[in-house]
Order: sequence, then C-alpha cells, then structure tokens
Amino acid sequence: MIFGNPAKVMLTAAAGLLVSIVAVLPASAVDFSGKKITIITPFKEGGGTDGLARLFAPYLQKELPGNPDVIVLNQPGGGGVTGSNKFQRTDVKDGTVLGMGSTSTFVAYAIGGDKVKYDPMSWEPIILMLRGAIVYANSDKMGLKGGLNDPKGDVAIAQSKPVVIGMKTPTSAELSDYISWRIIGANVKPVFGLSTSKQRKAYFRQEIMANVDGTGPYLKKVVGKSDFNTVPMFSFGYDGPDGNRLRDPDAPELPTMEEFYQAAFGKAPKGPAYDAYRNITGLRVMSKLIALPPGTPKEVVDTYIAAMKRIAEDPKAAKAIKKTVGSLPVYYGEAAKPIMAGGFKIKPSARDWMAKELGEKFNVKM
Amino acid sequence: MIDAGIAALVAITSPVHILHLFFGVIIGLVVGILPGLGGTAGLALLLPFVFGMDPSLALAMMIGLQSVTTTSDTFPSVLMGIPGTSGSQATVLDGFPLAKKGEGARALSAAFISSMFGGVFGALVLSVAIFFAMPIILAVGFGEQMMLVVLALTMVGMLTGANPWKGLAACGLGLMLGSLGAAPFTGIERLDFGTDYLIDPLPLVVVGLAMFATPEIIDLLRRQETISEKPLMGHGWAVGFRDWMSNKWLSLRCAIIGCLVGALPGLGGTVIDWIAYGHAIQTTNNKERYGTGDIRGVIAPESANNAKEGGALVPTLLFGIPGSGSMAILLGGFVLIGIEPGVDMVTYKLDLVYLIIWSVALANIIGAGTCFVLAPQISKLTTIKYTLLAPIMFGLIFFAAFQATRSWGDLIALFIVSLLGIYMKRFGWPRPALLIGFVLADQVEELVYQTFTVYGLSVFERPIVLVLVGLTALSVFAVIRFKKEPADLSATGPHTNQNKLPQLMFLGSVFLFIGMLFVDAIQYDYLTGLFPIFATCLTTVFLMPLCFQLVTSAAPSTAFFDSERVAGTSGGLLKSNEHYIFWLFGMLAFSAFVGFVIGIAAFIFLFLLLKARLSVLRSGLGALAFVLFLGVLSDRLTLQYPTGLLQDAAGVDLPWPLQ
Repeated sequence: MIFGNPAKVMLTAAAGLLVSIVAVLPASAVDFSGKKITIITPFKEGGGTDGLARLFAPYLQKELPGNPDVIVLNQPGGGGVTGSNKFQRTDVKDGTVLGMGSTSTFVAYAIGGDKVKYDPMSWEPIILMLRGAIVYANSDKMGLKGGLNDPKGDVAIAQSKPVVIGMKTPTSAELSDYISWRIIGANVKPVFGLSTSKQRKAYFRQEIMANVDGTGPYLKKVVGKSDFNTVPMFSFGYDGPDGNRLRDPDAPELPTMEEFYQAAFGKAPKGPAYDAYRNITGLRVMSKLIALPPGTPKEVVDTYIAAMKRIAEDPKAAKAIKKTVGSLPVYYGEAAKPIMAGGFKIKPSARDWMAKELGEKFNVKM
Repeated sequence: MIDAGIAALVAITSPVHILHLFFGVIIGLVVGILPGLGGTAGLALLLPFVFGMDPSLALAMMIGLQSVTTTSDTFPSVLMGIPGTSGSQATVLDGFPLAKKGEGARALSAAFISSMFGGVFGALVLSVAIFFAMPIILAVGFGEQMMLVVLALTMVGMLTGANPWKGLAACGLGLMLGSLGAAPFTGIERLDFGTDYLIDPLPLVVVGLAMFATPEIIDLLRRQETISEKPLMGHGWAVGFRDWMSNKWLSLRCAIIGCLVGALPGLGGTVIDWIAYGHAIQTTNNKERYGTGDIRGVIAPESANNAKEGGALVPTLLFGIPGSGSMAILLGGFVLIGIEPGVDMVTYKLDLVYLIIWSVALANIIGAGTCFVLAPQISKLTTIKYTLLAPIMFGLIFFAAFQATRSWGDLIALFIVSLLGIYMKRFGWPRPALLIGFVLADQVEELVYQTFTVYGLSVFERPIVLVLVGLTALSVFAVIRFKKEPADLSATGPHTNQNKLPQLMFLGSVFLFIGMLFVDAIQYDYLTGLFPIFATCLTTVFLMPLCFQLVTSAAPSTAFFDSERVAGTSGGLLKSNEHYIFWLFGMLAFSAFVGFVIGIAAFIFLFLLLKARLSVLRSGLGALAFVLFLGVLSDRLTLQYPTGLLQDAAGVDLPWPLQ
C-alpha cells in the first residue's frame, strides 16, 4: 500500500530531493537579480576614478550573482568631498550602492576640515589598488633635463623660473605635486580649479609647465603626445617592506624623488617638509578604493570580494586594470585596512608644515 | 575620420539605435506640438531617464528629440495660429492664413520638406565644421574659453529680450544661482540656507524645468487655449512638395542662415525664424503677398529653424559652451552619460561625434516622414483640452526634477525657482539668458581666475582672444545700433509705465537675493568668496540703468514690461498666476503630510475634477494611471519617492505603488 503508486513515489522522491537541495544552499545567499547597482563616483566624468568605475561596471555585472545592472553615478563637487559625504550617509546596506575612494578623498579626510563628514576607515573595503605617479615637465619651456641627467641644474632652474602646476583645490590630491616641487626648493605657482583631465589639457596647451599623472595614464596619454618635449623628473615610487621608497616597477629607469634629491643636494631629504611629502605622496599612491557603505553585512562584502577576485583573474580585465593602475600591489577586504590606517596617520610635524605653507601661501586654514 | 563616420553610420542603423532614435523623435514631435513645451523642457524631462544608459543609445534618443521639435511645432502654428515652440513664430504669419484658405495640408507639406532639408543640411555643415575646427581646438586655452563664455553671455543677454539691461541682469542672476552650493576651488558651501541640499550646486534639470516648463504650462492654463474644434487641415499635400521644389534656393539660403546664426551663441531658436522670414521678404518678388498666405513665408522659417540645430551643436561639441537653452540641457545630458565635449571628444570619441551628426540627419528624415504619414492623427493632438494635459505635465516635471538628486530638496527647489521663472516671464526678463548664465557660472568662475593667474594681462596679446573681444564689442555695438523697438509702446501695451508696483516688488526681491548672497560671500576667503561678490556686483551694475528708468521714465519703454497689462487680454485671462502657484503649493504641502505619490495623485484628481470638469470616476482613473506610472518607474529605477509625516512620524508603510 505504501509503495502502491509509482508516480507518487517518484513525486515524493523528487520533492525530497528538491528540499535537500534548497537546504544545502546557504539561507542568506546574496542575489542581485533584477537589482540596479550604483557606484557613487565623487568626481566628474572622464577622470581616473570615473574611468576605473566604468571599467569595473560591466565586469561586476558579469561576476555578481544575478547579473544586476551596474551603473556609475557621478557626484562631483568639493574635490570629491560632496560625493563621499553622500556615500557615507547612504542607508542602503544591501550591496546595491558602492563607493569609490581615491587619493583626493583620502587627502581631504587626512587633512580634515569641517566639510569632511565621512570616514573611509568605517567603510567596508572590497579592493584597494596602489598606483604609482610620475612628475613630468615641459622641457622646451623650462629647460629641465629630468631624471638623473642633471639634477643640480634642474634644481637651479626650478628655483629661478616659476613652475606653474594645476591643482583642483589647495587641499586636494595635487598637494603631492605641490610638495614634491616645494621640497627641492622650487618656485611653484599653482592654478586652482583644474581637474586631472583639465590639468593634462592645460599642460598640452603649454599653459601649465609641469604636471603629475598616474604611471599608467602617463605612459598612455602623455608620452609622445605633446607637441613639445616632455621629460619625466622623478616618480613617487612606493613604500617597500622596510619602509623605504622603491622605484615604480612600471617606470624602473626613473629615479624616486629621494634619489633625485640625493644626487642634487648630496644628502637624503629630511625634516617636516619631507614628512609631509611622504605622507601626502603615500596617500596619492594609495590610489583607488572600491568600498561598500559602513554596516554592510559580511556575506554581501564577501560576495563582492569573491567577484572582484574573479575579475582580477579574467585576462582581459587584468590587462585593462594593469593599464590603468599599473603593477603595484592590490589588497582585498580586511587586508586593505592596515594599509589605509597607515596612510591616514599624518605626522604632527608634517601637519604643522602643511598648515603653515597653505596658510601663508593661499590663506587656507587646515 | 572617414572610418569613424562609417562606423557611426553602421552603429546608428542598428535596430536598437534606430529604436531609441525613433523614441526620441516621437517625444520630440509631441513636445513640439504641445504649446508651451519646447526642446528645452522636453530634454529636461528626458534627462533623468538617460542616466545609466549606453552613451550611444542615450545620444540617439536625446538628439532625436532635440532635432524634431521644430518640425512638429508647425502643426499648431499652421492649424491654430499658435506657435508650438518659439522657433516657429514666423511660420504663423503665412501658415495660418493658408490653413484658413483650406490649404493647411499644403502649408504643412511644404513646411515638413523644408524642415527635413534644413535639418539634413545642418548635419552636413556640422560635419564639415568639426573637420575644420579640429586644428583650432588646441589653440583654445583659458583665455579663449573665457572670451567665448563672455561672448555667449553678452549675446544671450542682449539679444533674448526686448531690453538689453534686463537680459544682462538675467545672465547675472543665472551666475548668482550657479554660485550657490559648493565652491569649485575650495568645496565650501556658499549660501546653503542651512540645508544639506545645497552641498551640491542647484541641479540643471530643476532650473531648466523651472524656467521653461512651469511658467509656460501656467500661462497656457490661464489662456485656456484649446484650440480649434476641428483642425483646419484642408488639402494640397502634393502642391506643398512642388512649392518647395520651386523655392529650393530660398530654402537653401535660409538653411545657411539658420546654421550660421545657430552657431553663434545666444541667438538660439527665438530669432532665427524671424531673420529667415525677413530675408525671404527682402530677396524675393511680390513682397505684398507675405502675411496673406504666401507659401514662401512658411518655407523660409521652417528651413532655417531646423538647420540651426546643426550649427548650434558646433560650439556645444567643440568647446562645451552652449548657445541656447536646449543646448545647455543637452550638454547636461552629455555629462550625465559620461561624455565630455571638447578636444577629447573630437580626438578620441570621433565615432560619437559622427553618431550625433548621423542622428541629426536621420531624426530629421524620420521626423518629417512621421509627420507626413500621421498628420491626420497628430493634428488631433492639437484639439486636446489643456486642462487635461496640465496636471499630468505638472506631475511629470516634478517627477523629473526629483530625479536630479532624489530628495525633497528637488521638489522644493523646483517650486521656488519656478516662482522666479513665472515672474520673469510676467515682467519680460529673458529666461534663456538666466539658464545660460547658470550653466556657464562654473566656467566663468574658473576661467576668469585661471586666465589671469596664467597670463595676467598678456592674455590680450593672443590673436584668438583679440578676435573674440572684437566680436563681443561688435555684437554689443550692433545690438545698440540696430535693435528694433517692439511694436507696441503704447500706454495700454505691456511696456506701459502705468502701475509699476508689481515690477518694483519683483526688482526688490531680486535685490534682496543679491544682498543675501553678497553678505554671505564677504565672510569667505578670496578663492571662495570672489565669484559671488563679482556676480552680485555685476548684476547690480546691470540693474542700475533699469532701476533708473523704472523710477524716472514717464513714457512707456522696454524697461517696463508686465504681461498682465496687455490690453484686451487681462479680462480674458482665467485666474491669476498666483492661483496656480497656490495649487502647486497645496500639492507640495499635502505631500509633506502623506508623501509625494499620494500628494500628486490627489492633485491630479482634484485638478481633473475641478478644472477639467471630468466626472469623479474619470478623474480617479487619471490619478490612478499616474500612480501606476510612478510605481512602474520606481521599480525600474529603484526609486524611493519623497515621504511625508504619515510615513516618517506615523511610521505607516504603504503598499506598492503608494509608498
């Protein structure tokens, strides 16, 4: 009687199988089917951070469970502060809102100010990418030789002729450009209100004389693209395991600022200005962060980290990422936090030096 | 270059592109027909939806809309004698008499062919202009950009209204509105009225809708222009085509005029049709027939007003400097989909440039074709009672504004800036000037500072800068020398010097805003405060002659304008501006209690019931349809509509679609 009806048996077995399959799946499997994921980018379209967000968007769509639509929402303003404040305030914790962190937002956070209402340390990092940067100049107009060709002569030129550079705001990421010229005693003249892409345009029009770009964009968009001779001066390099600055692996022939300084002045750079240089260029190299808002559940964060690792293994994506950020180290999830914490710790001596410099030169309070 | 052109042609002829283009064209045709909505308001409505779309599809849609509003605006011009957009005012002069003679179809047919020809010609000129402009573009530095902006502002300011001082002051007001919120050099929030909303500057969509949609809808409601019972279609489709053939050289000349004038910032759609009409009268025989139903009076303006779009895209694409209200919004759309006009676009994204060019041409062909085929159906649109459309349109513009930052602030900002728009319309302040000033505010702030930091006064040694300075001076001179006084300077016309109190009150409010911004600005450091101080002082300077005239002038003059004073209409007007402002205020206030969805539903229901005099059932259905529309969009765009006390304080969770 119990096994009387074969059809019924089959049905019961099938149902049982179904139940056991459902039971095996984790109860809270993250699924984004039919959802729309928004990546808040606190900059205008066309910059490096925006470019990276747009690069990742289609891959995230492919790798996230449920293949959600992924869109980039640009929230420019205040050198990245406006959009980051907005990201910090978001109460969407289901993984449908992502934020982009970048040097600008990190610098603004580290330097402080009453506009900054976000704390990148409270965010849930998915991936932190380091990126080298290169200081370059118009050698036709300035007469600079660059690299280790004639450091003493270059320093003499930079101290006598004004070095016009572009900056977004006095406290934006280009503070690293400013300090790197100031530290060799240059007569720097910044022009404010220029985003990264506008700086490059103004450089090509010979309206600013020197500029800094990420190593990737420098190799792709600057080398051989100007109507005049451009020379690379030095790279920011990156912090090695022993705390020393190492040469940029994507531009290994170029000295770091430390090597340049040593060759020009016959001694290693030291003092509060150098502390400020190390701090701010360190933040600059800590280039791009993709994060979830504070309080996002762990399984959502883990889903993203797994997706991001798969993207990094995709040969096509890896190639594109290398082209944009270069071959410096990458950190996922919790591993990013100590690196970030180290970057945000500004030495008091460096802070004092910057406060004095910004106050005297641009009447800006830190 | 040719590769990019062909690649773009292949892209644009793919079904999905054609579909988006077609969708844009349809919306463009509709907003062109509905009096009061033109390309500017239409694009502002579309903008929220393009966000996140594939750039090439979004471009096809936006360009599709933009290109054809001046094709379909011929319907109301010819059939009803009401210009559908400001670009077809001149068409009315001969088009409407033709329709009255029973030759409406002939006029429409000639107009569509002319529009199509003008539009395609404009696209051709655009592609040639891009080719020749590429070598110049690298020579356009801070100084040149600054002068282009100055040229745009002076021309818009001096040309778009009857009184140049009002126009310039309107530009100044635009600069002032653009200076609210985060300062570009320091990120400090200027005059944020203590709100979080103004951490960002005011959204362009909000300002665009407040300037061009709300005032026009209210104006039409007041005039209750519905429209003839039966459209005067008449006959003569084939005759119209032959008319165009025999006037093809006139059409070509007017298309050239349209392109040239369109490329100059400021002239925009409001005057091109008149210039072309004037040109036709000057260069053809039998002048006395114009104004009585001469087909040439239709062909000339219609050829020019579509051709101008190609011309107007030149400064927009090459330098990111818009010349008209709709180009300003289009520029906002570019930014939204991640396209930055300028060198990068014409060097690295040439395929998109060609996509735009092909889209202009194709949209004009599709638009004119659609108008031909569906003319009988489309002409019925002109017979819809405006009181039926208005509540839906209010719902749409509030919805579109809400897309800007998705906060209550958007709705409140739209309401407040709309007040400005309504009274600017009433007192004859050119609203395109304000919009251009607003769009260019950031660029003015950045470029003036950057130019003088980099060049100092040596900027005036650069040849292109000098040419632009010359052009600016020339245009100012030309305006002063040749600007015609408006026809009606009588004591009973709108320019009368009687009853100045409302105008003085408006001027007082403007000064109050200037004062607030100035007092706020002087507390900041140099980099933050300089621009608002500059903008407020500039506006004050422009207002001085106006104040002087307002107080002293004893005769009617262009300094005065009050549309409420137009003889003969004040009696015919139903209800006041304030009446409808109160309706909108009521909607927002009610929404504050029950949330936007229920608020707007109640608004539409009551409006249909009381204004359109529909039955309770039909009014209810109308409101329900709109709520469903909002509900579907909230799913599609993952939106959460503004909530009221009911949701926040009482904690009521309403089911879809009422949430």
